[in-house]
Amino acid sequence: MNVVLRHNMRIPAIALILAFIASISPLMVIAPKPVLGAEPMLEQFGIGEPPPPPEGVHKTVSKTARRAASSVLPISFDRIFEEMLPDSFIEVSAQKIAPADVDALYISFEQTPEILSENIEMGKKSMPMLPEPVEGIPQPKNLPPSYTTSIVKHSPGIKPPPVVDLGEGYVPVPTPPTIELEEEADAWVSGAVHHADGIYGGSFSHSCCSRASYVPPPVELSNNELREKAVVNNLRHRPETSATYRRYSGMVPELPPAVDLRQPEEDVWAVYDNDSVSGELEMTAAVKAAEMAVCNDQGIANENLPEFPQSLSGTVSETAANTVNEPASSHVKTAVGTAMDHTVAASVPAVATVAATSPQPKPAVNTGGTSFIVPERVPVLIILIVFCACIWHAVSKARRGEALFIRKISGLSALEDAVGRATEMGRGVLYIPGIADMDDIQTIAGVTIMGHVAKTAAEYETPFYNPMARSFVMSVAQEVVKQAYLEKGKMDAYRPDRITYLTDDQFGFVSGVAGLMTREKPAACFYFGTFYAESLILAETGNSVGAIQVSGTAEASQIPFFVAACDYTLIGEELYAASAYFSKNPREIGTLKGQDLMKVLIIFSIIFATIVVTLKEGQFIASPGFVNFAERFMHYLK
Amino acid sequence: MLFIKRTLPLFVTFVVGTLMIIAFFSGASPDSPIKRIESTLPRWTQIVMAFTMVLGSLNLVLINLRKVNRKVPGYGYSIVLLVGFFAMAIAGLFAGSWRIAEKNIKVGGVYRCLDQSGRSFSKVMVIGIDYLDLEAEKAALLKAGDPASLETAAGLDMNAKVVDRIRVAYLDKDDKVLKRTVKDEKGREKEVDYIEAVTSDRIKGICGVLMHDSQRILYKGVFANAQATMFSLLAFFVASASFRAFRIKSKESALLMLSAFIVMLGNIPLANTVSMWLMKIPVIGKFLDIVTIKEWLLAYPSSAAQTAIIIGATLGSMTASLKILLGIERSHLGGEG
Repeated sequence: MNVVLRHNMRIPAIALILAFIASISPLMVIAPKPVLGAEPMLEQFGIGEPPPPPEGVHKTVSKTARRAASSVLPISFDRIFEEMLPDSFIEVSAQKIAPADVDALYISFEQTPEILSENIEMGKKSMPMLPEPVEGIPQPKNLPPSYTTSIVKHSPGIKPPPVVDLGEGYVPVPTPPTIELEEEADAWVSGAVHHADGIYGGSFSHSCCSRASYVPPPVELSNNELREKAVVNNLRHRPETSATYRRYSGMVPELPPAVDLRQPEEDVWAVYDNDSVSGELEMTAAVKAAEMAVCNDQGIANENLPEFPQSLSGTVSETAANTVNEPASSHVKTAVGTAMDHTVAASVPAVATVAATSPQPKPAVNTGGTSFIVPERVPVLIILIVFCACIWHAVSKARRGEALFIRKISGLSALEDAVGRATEMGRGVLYIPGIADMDDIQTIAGVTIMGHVAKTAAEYETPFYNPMARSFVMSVAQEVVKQAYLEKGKMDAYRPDRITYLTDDQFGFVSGVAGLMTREKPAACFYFGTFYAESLILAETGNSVGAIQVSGTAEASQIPFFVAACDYTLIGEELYAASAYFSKNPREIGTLKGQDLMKVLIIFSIIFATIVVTLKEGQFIASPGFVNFAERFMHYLK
Repeated sequence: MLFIKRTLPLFVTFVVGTLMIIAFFSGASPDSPIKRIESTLPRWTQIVMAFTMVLGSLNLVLINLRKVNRKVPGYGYSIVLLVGFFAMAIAGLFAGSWRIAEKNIKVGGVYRCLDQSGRSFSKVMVIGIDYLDLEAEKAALLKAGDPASLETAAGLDMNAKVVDRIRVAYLDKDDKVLKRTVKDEKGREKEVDYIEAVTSDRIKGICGVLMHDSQRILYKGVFANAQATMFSLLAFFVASASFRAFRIKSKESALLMLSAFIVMLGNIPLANTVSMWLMKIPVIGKFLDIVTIKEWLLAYPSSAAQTAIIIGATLGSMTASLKILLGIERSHLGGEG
């Protein structure tokens, strides 16, 4: 090996060999497998035996089901299938005939035992205990730290639930409005419900399988049989879903009608999840807590899950979702899923079911109806006006001819020296304006600096290489560099083929640039713009070919890498100052000065806020007026 | 010419930028023109950028073709690039779309059926085709009542036969129908034919199978691994960059080295052991908990410095945006700013 490979070639060679081995390994996987290799897994779920569909039943338009499902789920079905699902899962069923109108959607999530056990272990490790056990509430060992949920003891019935303060980190739940009996009854979504999606957020959905099908609309209400054809009851009567449900979700074969769940002796835990991943799925669930530790005699039981690991069978709660804010007559979209329940039992995780109603998505920002201005954005507008005033003031001073000082920025001053060095060495200059597109302000700043570097390179007739990660930036860069060569009267030295697009792919681009560096060995490398993980690879490769390197980015996470590997680094705002620094244009220098003025204001605000908060939190000034002022000030500052 | 290259872009930038600022602050209803502009203009950007992909691809192909044609030094790399480019493009384009027309799928024909994960194929025989009930579909659309549904309903050709599902029987290598074991109502196991209803896009011919497998081999077998390899190199580069950065050349670099050492040590279990040893030092020992010091370094000095950088960068970005909007900065259009 020593004979064949030079010392500095060993690591690339080993990497190449490893890459080759890794490359060919999937071929074995990709090779055609025996028919339906996933069957054992499906059987394990009890869902791997889709009966031959009877004649004439496949009339559902699956696209509609998918669309409806996507509107409820945080992520689209397509994404689930393309990215998240193991190959052994069931298909989106959407096979059954729906009635002409669809007003509810059923989605179930099913997990492989492997995923389930992995999640349980993960949950056990990462989720802290509640500060103090609350009487009557099962100790939720497994709430993740970021999960701010309130658990409210809710006596079923018409009375609003009392709020139990669980201490710091658990937000009290606003009391739901009292609603009329019929409305409440109608709002109960008949089904097994739990808040597992709230616990797991997106990861739950991501790691689970989905299935969508239509559910007929509810029939008229009657005294004791509410929504008898509602979500779950219908699902239960379907051959292929009922088996899955009974086995996995703990659904009882004959779920009591919603009104039964409101019997006084049965406690219901209301769990309100405000931590929806997408903002669309707002789950409001009520969990029936009675008999939590005991399997329902009609529902899930260990004997019904012979292939299911005993340790995972756990307990099952019988639950129901309460869509208190849904009008009785509205068509309720309902998502139903299965997941582990880490809160119903302290030590034994359970398989529970999620049913969540999805109210109308709320807009991300309160636009204030048809008001003249969005109220939440007034502070931003004020800051913008102050900022513009600062800039206008400084620009006016500059135009009046007042001398405005700009400190020396070493990185920018070194640009010309670096190009000069490359010229002396007879090698080229490499310039990368980041990997973002032209809609990124850092890229524009990078292209601006590129113009100045190109002029110097044109003047010295130094080869100027510009590999690009975005084709839009490439066309802009070609124009800028061409103009630079034109201004210097060196159009004959302009080589558009050196300003080339490589690829949009981050690491594909890095390898392309690394190859270019290794072949052309530029004596100066410049990186100005938006960079992510590739920053260090680029800078280290440039260092390995002996180039002098100047970089600049406003990405705070990448600045340390550039500082470590480059000779000069423009930190944050310095990147944007380049244009004014080079041009000495009074208007541009004025904008820099205005920016500095704004910075001074911010510094004073920080000092003032620190004093105010210290006085408030330390209760040095306890007058209500001051406390109110401090809170409002901090609110606006945030 | 100057008007098109300079004045017009500046004018468009100013008008569009001002509109977007007004729309951002405006409290008008979502249906108002100003809010519609706010939601529509970003899509224009996406469309323009999609077209530039063609430009980039052409540029890449032409430059490398020219290099191969002129046999410039290192033109072998260009050949590899061109082969990879076209192989991936062809396989990618046809892998998903190379399907058998529904009218050509015959009952009794033997095809390949893509499994649900999209990874492998199984040999199947078509045993039946189910068609959509267009009457029910139309009724549903009419009942939905929204303009899009009504439009779709009006466009439905009721005489057409639209395939919904295709029933297939899975075959083994000897073309015999595969069996599977199911349980009946009484829990007894029995063997039945393996039949499934699938969508027509999962039924492929031999070309579809070839394209699909080629694409998967290229993507999963080559591209994904090459990508992972490049990313993995980062670990080595971090080591070499750290080695250079932490060399003690001055008081500042000594401080940097010390901080880095504490943070690195604080992230590994050994920190607890070291802290226990340090605790034995009288008086100051109790203050020398490595993990606490690490947390403090990250939460205060490091976080404060990062916040300062972010505030500066944000202000810089606002200034730059304003300069572009007002036409003060125009270097990106070519020429002096």
